[in-house]
Amino acid sequence: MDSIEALRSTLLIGPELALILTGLIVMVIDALIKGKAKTELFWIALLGLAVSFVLNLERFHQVSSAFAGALSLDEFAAYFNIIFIVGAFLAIVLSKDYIAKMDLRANEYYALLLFSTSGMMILSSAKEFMSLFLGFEIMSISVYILSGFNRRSTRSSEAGIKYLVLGGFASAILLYGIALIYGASGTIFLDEIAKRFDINNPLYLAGTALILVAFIFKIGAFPLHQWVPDIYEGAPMAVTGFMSVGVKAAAFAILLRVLFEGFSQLETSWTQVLWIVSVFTMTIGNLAALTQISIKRMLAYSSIAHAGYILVGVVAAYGEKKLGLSSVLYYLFSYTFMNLGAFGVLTYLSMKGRECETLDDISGLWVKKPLTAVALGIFMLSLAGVPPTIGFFAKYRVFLSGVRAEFYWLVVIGILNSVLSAYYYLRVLVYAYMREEKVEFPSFKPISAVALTILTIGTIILGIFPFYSWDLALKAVDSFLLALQAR
Amino acid sequence: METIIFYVFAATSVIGSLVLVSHKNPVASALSLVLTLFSTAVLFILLLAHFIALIQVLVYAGAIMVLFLFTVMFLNLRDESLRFDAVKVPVKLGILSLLLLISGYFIFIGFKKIPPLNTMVISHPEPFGTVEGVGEVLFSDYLLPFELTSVLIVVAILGVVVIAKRRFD
Repeated sequence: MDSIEALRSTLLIGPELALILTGLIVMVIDALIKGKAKTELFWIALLGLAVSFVLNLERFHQVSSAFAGALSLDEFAAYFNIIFIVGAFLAIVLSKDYIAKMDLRANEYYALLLFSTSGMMILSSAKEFMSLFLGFEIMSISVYILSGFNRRSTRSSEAGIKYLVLGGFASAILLYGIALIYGASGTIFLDEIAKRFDINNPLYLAGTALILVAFIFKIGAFPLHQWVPDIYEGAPMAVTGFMSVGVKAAAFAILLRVLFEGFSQLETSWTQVLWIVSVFTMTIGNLAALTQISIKRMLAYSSIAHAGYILVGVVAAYGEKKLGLSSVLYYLFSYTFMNLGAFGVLTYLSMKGRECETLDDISGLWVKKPLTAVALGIFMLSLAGVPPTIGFFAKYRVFLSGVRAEFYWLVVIGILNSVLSAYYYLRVLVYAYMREEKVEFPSFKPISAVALTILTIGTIILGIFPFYSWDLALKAVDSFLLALQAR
Repeated sequence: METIIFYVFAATSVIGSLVLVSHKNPVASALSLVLTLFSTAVLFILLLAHFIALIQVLVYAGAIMVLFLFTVMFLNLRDESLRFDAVKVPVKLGILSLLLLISGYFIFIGFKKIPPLNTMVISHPEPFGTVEGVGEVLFSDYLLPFELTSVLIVVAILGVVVIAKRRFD
């Protein structure tokens, strides 16, 4: 690669650079300003994300690849980037009041969130294992630190350490898999690996299995889901919301890209594996969520269950490539709104130094704060998959693609599971609407309220008129599949 | 000659790792890890991967080991806290070696199926693995990963600041 190619590529990765630069600017300004003049660089962080969002839209018009094929800047990646940027934007807006309540250090928080998002964006377009691994680590390490960000809380520190150790294991397993694949094929580019793939060589099989294990850990699916409740429960509420949508979406992006672009010759094998994983993930997530008293922990188990539903779409892609994959993309998009919304309400209701966490903490919400109660209701119904919310349409598409691909049993288990899940989502509403007030609620905060309003409107409007977001998902998958056929 | 060197250093690396896990004194464990890392570095040289061998000695046997020793000394462990339950050790060892045997059997079957190296498509440029070769591709073909590493390091530094800064200021 010569210097002209390097320059051209650098200009092409504008969205990623915008985030990295904003993160650095936030860090440097925070270090330069001393004493009382110290301000929160909230708006700069939001501006960086907005710039990145606009630059990213350009990729829907012009597909390109950068750094000699290391990054594929296609519509598939652009769709995922929208999920990450929207998620990070709303997470930052929701965090502002939360940071003040918990007395955290705001600027480092924003910078880490921006770096983490840039890592996810690199991950979603990486087509070469070294960039992929570095994107994976930039995302993960930022999130490890964010989980342990509240140092006054022992639970937050515990979550940070646990996530670091367990995530480190997952990264090591991923690296081992990459090493085996590299040893067998002599290349780290996914296209080349697909060309040289040899089913009879056990090195490829072992490498694929190890890489798949690492991804299953990151999406929080059975049998590597045990970390999810502990870490989601311990991490600061706003971070949990960001983690549950951003990291999950990034892990799915890279799962799809690596499996379909690199290891498509083993498609039958890993579809079988993911079938089993999907069934157990849904069932175990839902069964464990039923008995939770803490809403935060319940939402953690529910996010495991949702990973199971999304995997139905991945499995369905075996027979129905286009519909299956676009349903996965659309599900992750809609999940961003409803799950971030659910965590957003809890963030909003947190009191100074104490998080709103258990069912008792929200009882009587309807009497005191009716609008917040309505928002919470919409998010819970959407997570349960009740029409006309966005959650219903997402589930409908995933299950429809499962039926089209003739995975009937999987769809039946999925539907039974989502019926089961209605119980614990509605229980939250019973407490919020029908019980007596037990604790005090915080006063009105405009900035968080704006974010919650956006999320609520998104959950309803995109549910009733899903056309644009759904078309975009179809378009993204189209370009992804075309690139697969073209080689 | 090469074969003799290989066997000698392979043996020392295995011995080093055995001492590492079985010794009660953490300082001795850490020092035997140096032995293991150093022997592996020699094995890397035998594979003509000079760069990795150098990094192995500099970073792992050097910097990381100092960090290990510092941590061990900071913790200031006493003898009682180091004694572990001696009753269950044979049972654990038994289960572990059984698992190792089973997985070893499968790995053995797997290894037999791997086609011989010369039939696999691997073409390496001439200075592959040496400092020169690594440097050349690092700043040309793998420019992006190289730059991304700097972002990763910034994130790590930021993390250290967040975690280590005075608690309430």
